[in-house]
Amino acid sequence: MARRPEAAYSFIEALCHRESALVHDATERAVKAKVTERELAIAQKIQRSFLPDVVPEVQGWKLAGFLQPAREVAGDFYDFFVIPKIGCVGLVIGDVCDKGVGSALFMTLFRSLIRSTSMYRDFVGNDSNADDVTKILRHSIKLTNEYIATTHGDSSMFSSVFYGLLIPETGQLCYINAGHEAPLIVGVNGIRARLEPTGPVIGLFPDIVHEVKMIDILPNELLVAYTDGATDAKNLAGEQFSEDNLLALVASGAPTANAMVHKIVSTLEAFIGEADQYDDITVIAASRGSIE
Amino acid sequence: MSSALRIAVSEEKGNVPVTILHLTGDLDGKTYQELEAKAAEVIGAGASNLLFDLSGIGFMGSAGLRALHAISNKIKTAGRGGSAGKMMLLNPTDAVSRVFKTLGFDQHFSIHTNLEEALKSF
Repeated sequence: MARRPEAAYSFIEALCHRESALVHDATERAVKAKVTERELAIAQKIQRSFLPDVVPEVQGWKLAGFLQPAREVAGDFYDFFVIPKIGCVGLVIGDVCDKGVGSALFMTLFRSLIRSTSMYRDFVGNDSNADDVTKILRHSIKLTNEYIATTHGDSSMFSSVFYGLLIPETGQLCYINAGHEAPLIVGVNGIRARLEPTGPVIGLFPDIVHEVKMIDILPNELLVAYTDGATDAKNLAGEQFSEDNLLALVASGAPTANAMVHKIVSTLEAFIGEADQYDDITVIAASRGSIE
Repeated sequence: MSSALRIAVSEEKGNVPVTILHLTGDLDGKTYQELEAKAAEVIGAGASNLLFDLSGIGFMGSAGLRALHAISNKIKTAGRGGSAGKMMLLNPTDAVSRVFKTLGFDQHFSIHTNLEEALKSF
């Protein structure tokens, strides 16, 4: 090689060129990964804004909610809002199918349609009677379902949703359960009622009608609702937390909505331990105080 | 831990030719694309009547349900000469049946527990 310096230079030049290309590719990949990470962080922040930042103050009631995404963004959602004029309180929990960014985009759509179709309407009076509350529930779920099933039908994206409208003064809860895990009414003697589905998931099948049901939440009782990420949570051994364990935990009661949510979440965190979180976990609760 | 999805395909002659996809394993977020790809393959090859044998499915996640709905949409326009194709389900396990019932899919899919009856209903 020493006798042919031009060959040595050419070899070294080719080597340098190859190394430079490798470094360039690695740098480009790192930059792209960083950009993706930053974009996901922005998406996460925006998506968080679709959850209630302040829990409504409702006379005689406590509300609490928790959502822990399995990935950067979630397909689960929950919402609390007070319906203007009539003063009843919307309690919503939902789980959009699949996971990741696609589910997260649809979560924002489902949540926003349910809220907007409930808050902005002119077909009911100004009293929180059960007839008006029923109309709002039907209107909201029907419009949300039909919009997504017809406008986005090709995507086959759907969501289970429990949507309850609570009349705080009486404790009456009118609800539609669209294919969601049955929320629970819990009293001093454990679970008193399970609010089973009243129709299928929304977003897939146009022209369906969901039945509206009613139940009274009594003084010192709680409503507890969750997504299947809670029951399907797995530990390092791959064991599921299970519905039975969750029901036993809820049946043991808690003094307030916040205490119930905290109890469920801390138990799940201890169970999952160092294992990867399998699915989004969402829990909401509403507790009625004792009548003075 | 998700269990791999295996798909075997067979043909039956009832009133009309029926393509049966025998599924074994888990149908979830990790495996649903395999089902969509296999269904697209058989539909592309001319199948317009699909029967999914779910007796070997241990776990059905929401992504699996989404895939079944997407295939049912696709098969509706898959028949020869523009006529509608059909899709039915056979023998879901108790666990999968519970998922169908909770989410309301049992009201929108034709679900059978007997192969002969399923073939006759196409």
